[in-house]
Formats: sequence, C-alpha cells, structure tokens
Amino acid sequence: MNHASPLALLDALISGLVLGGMYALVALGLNLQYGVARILNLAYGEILVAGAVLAWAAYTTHGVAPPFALIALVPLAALIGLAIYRVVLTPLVKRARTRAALETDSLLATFGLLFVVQGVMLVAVGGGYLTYSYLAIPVDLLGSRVAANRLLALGFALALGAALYLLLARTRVGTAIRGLAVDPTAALLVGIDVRKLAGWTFAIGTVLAALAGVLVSMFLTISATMGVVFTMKALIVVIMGGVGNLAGGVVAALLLGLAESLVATFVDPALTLAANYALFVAVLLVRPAGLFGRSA
Amino acid sequence: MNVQKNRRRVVKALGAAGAVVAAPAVVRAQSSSIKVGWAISKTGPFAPGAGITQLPNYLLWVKDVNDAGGISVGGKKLKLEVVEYDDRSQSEEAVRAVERLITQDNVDILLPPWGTGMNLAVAPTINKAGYPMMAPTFVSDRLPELLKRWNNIFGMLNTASTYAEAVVATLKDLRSAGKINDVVAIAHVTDQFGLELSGAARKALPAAGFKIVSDPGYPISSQDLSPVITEAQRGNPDTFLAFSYPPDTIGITEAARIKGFNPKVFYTAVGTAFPLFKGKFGANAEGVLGIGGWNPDSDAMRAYIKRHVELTKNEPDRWASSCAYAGLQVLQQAIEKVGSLDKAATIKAIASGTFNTIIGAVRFADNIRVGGWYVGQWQDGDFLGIYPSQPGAKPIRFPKPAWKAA
Repeated sequence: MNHASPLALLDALISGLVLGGMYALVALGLNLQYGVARILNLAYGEILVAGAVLAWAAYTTHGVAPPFALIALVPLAALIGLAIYRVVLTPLVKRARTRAALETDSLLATFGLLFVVQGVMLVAVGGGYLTYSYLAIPVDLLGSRVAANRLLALGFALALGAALYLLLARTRVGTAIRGLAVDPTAALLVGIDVRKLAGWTFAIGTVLAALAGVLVSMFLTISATMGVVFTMKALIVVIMGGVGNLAGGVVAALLLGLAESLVATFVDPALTLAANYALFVAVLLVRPAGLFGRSA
Repeated sequence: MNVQKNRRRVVKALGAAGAVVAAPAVVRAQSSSIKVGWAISKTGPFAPGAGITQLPNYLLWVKDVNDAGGISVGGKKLKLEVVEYDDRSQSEEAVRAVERLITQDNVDILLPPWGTGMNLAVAPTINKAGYPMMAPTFVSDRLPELLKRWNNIFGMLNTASTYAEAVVATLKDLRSAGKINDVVAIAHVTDQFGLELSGAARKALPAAGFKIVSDPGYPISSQDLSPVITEAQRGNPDTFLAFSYPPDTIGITEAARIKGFNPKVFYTAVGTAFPLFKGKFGANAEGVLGIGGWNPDSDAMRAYIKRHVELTKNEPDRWASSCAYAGLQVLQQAIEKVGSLDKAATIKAIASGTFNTIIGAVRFADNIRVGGWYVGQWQDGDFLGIYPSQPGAKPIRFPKPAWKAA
C-alpha cells in the first residue's frame, strides 16, 4: 500500500491537518478546565455531545443552521458552566489542600456529572445515532477535495486557539489566569480572586466544549452515549501538548491528525489508532510534561 | 396550613401510586400474566444499534400482544408483564442481568441482548436455563456450529459469509451482463462482523474472477474515512464494497461523496438500511447497495411499519427490525401451539414448525431461518431487497447515479 506520489502526500497532509484541527477544537476547553481551573472534568465529552445534540435538534426540528445555534449556545453554556462550578465544584475547591487532592475529588464529582448529563440526553433524544447534513459541500484545496464543514471546524480551531493565546499572553486577565495555572496560592497572595477567576475559566471551557460539539455534529454521527470518545481524545491532546498550554494543545492535535492521516495513507488505516497512541507515548517518553509543558 | 394540606395530598397520591404498583404482583400470584424479561444496551456504545433495531420491536410486540388481550395459553389469555435491565454494553453486565432474570425474576420468556458479541456472551447461560432464544442480531460464520451446541437458539439472520457471497453473486450477474469490469476495491471495519464479512469476500471475489485492488481495514472509532476512499479511488474500480458498521457506514459514504468517488456499484454494510441513512443523504442514497433489505409490499408489513412509527416516531430499520418482530411472533405462535409455557416443548415447536409472520412464512433449518434478504438497494426512498431472487425481489438499478451536491 505504498503510494509515494506527491499528490497522495498532499492529500494526506491536508486531510491530516483538517482532522487535527478537529482534535484541537475538541481539546481547547478541557485545556482551560484541567490546565487552569484544575478540574479534570470527566463530563467534558458529555458537555460536548450535549452541544452537538442541541445543534442537531435545532437543525432537524426548526431548521436553525448550526452557526446560529452556536450564537445562542454561547451564553447558555457559560451559565451552565458557571453553575456547575459554583454548585458542584466550589465545595471541592474549598476543602482541597493540594492540587492532587482537588484532582481526585473533581475526578469523582465529574464522573457523577457525566451520568447526569448523559441521562438527561438519553431521556430527551434517546440513545440512537443522530446525524444531519449541513455545509457538506466539497471544497477544492490544492487539488484535494475536503468537506466545507470540516474546514469550518479547522478554521474555528485555529481562530479560537489564536484568540485564547492572545488573551492569555497579552491581557491582564490572561496574565492572572496564567498565574492561576502556575500557582494558585501565589496568585491569591498577589490579589487575584482565584475562585472567581477559576469559575470563569471553567465556564469558558464549557462554552468551548459546547461550541466544538456544534461544529463536529455537522460531520460526525453522534449519539448521546459517545462522550467518552471526546474526553479521551481531548485528554491525550492536552497532556501531549503540555497541560494548560493552549498553543501546545493545538500543535499536538495537528501532529496527531497528521500522524493518523499519513499512516492511513502510506501504511494501513487499521493502524491509525495505534499510531496515535505510539506518538503520544513517544512524546511523553522524551518530554514527560508534554511538548510545551513545564516540568512540575 | 396550606403546606400541610398539600403535603397530605402528596402522601395520599403516593399511597395510591403504591397500590397501583403493587397490583401487578397480586395479579401475578394468580398467574394470569406472563413475565417477559430482557437485558439490552440502553447506554454505552451498543445503545444506538439496540435502540434502532431491537428494543423498539420488543416494546411494539408487548404492546401489540397486550392490546390483543394477551397470549393464549391453555385456553386462557395471559397479558405480558416486562422486566428490563440495561446491560450498559458490557458483556459481564449482560450475563449478570440474564442470570438475575432467570433466578430472581423467574421470567417466563427471555429475550436476548443486541449484537453478536453480547449474544455469544449470554448464550451459555440461557442455554443452561433452557429458554428458547429468538436472536435477531446474532450474525456469525460460527452460527451453524454454535447452534448445533445451543439448540435453544434461533437465528433470525444468516451467517456473515451468506451476506458477503450474496454481494459477490450480484456482482457476477452484473459482469456477465457486461455492465462492470472485474476491478473491485473493498474496505472493512476491524470489528468482528466487518472482519468476517471481508474475510468471506476476500475468498469469494477472486474465486469469481474479480480482482481486489485495495483492501484496507480501519478502526471502528475512525473519525475521518477520507484516506480509505482516496485509496480506493486510486485503483479506479467499477465496484466499491465497504464492510462497515453504522457510524462508519455514514462516514464512508459521506467521504465518497465529498471526494467525488463514483464507482458504478457502491455498497456499504450495517446501517445502510437504517432510516438515518436516508435522513442524512436524501436523494443521494438512491442506488446505494447494502446488507439486508425488505419487501414492504404486504398488508401485514404496511400495518407493522405504521404501528412502529406510531410507537417510536421512527421508521424501522429495513433489515433486521421486521425480522426481530417476526421472531417474537414465532415465539408467541409456538407457545400457543404448545398450549403452555413449557420451554422444551416450545423450542421443539419452533424448530419444526412453519409460522405466519409479518415477513411471510418463517421456518428454520438447523435453527437458522431459511431465506431472507441478503442484498438491498435504495430505490425511490425505500431500501428494497434485490437478492436472492425470490418473490418480491426488485431488479437492481444500475449504475448508481453520481453523487449530487448536497
């Protein structure tokens, strides 16, 4: 299965970048929640699927195009994210003495949350496959045909990744958030309202998850119980890129997408999953804190 | 004061509800009902498949039987009472739930879970307990050998090879009519059924003089199948066969449409028959071949489809759904014929009898249903059986029209 033509290579590179863009998009929110707010949110995939389910429902029942659903969903997801942080997670944050303790506690709490969100979706739409067609138009990109909806997802991933990077690197709030990520206690000492900031960061993560859900629902067949697929993918991307490093996450996601697509094209599609994990393990062997992570 | 009153009212209502809930238990003691139990995937990765093909038909059958007054057992009509567990798509959980249904709930009728793997997992337990097991989604090449050992199990579908060889036979007909050349690209999902189907095709295709130009497998959770399509495209085949599972059936068809891959014959496997496929692709579904198919041209089928839509708000899957329902009709008729809930006698009656169901006459040879549809094609918005040639078979439409812009 060796097709070493330049055209095949170009094809593989483009579809790898598009796939990687989707992974980046899926992982952005978790990076904020885990890397900054320090909540390892196991219900992350479920929130993402909830966004996808809402987009599906809006499109199939009322003909609302996903970009418009997106606009309505942003404030809704922010409110839900804030509410989750206040009600479910704040008590854990209050009593946690160390970062490790918070991680364990939040792991258990969000594991429960996972079933709550999933249960609500099962009652609302059932456990069946949900899919629709929007912007499923072939676009010619340097002689390779790509679906417009996948390109849109890539565009969003790059734009959001860049925006978040600028927010973190160039603004006062961003500096505070970074301070929070590095050392919450020290952040508190220099006058940062840690709990409030962490709550908002968690909420932004929730918005990003819902947003990613809306975008991937345009080209993936989803079901109410598939959240764990996204949680796993996001976790790999976040850890590989360096926890809390958004640019690192995007780079890691693109690498994973490229590895998958190159292996599928030049080796064997059956090995894509193996290639993904092999790359993940290889990176962690060389750089235990991830590509751009600071070693703890 | 007001609050107190309200609280009292709530307590009263709860008491009344309790009485209602308790009622079936009392009725049950007088044995004027039949207890039906099943464990099926209501959550986890198998939930969508179970929720499309199998569970709706269990519920519809229970409703139909109870609406008609029940099953006649020894001159008395007994209504059905349901015990249901979620196996969470885990085989250990399914086995535990089935054991519970047998030993604690003492069900009279036991219905199987969804999917080949799950059926394999619970088969020994159900066999030991001696229940007849009507399996609508149990497809494997080991079926004949297994059902010899577990002769309480009745397969409503067929072996994987039967389905794969049927596609190859369809291709042979097209080639002898001079319509296609002998270049075929195949692909498969690396999961039990995909492996068995492609394994059988890999033998049958060269034996029939076809040349396989590409043959990749891909993992079940693949989120982009365009590399698979690109690889098939390079061989410029007249025929493309994907031995796929539901999410990737949609994914691979979408990738082919986006990449403008237009072979004369385009086949996908499990999921092609789902209403979802038509919902996603609309007019682009036209001409796509797939596993299964049905013949809806009978009063019984039309009435079944209508009832299914009324109960579930969804059309049935056009392959295994009606077979699942028919299997339950067989079970009911066998019990009525025997005149008791005697399990061994019911199994014997099923094995030797011919039954009148929504899909026509059903009988079994070595515990596998004789006949059925192996290849179907989307024609004018319906997924109709085209192979084997039998009454009701539609002629194949050729070639598949090129994909249109969405």
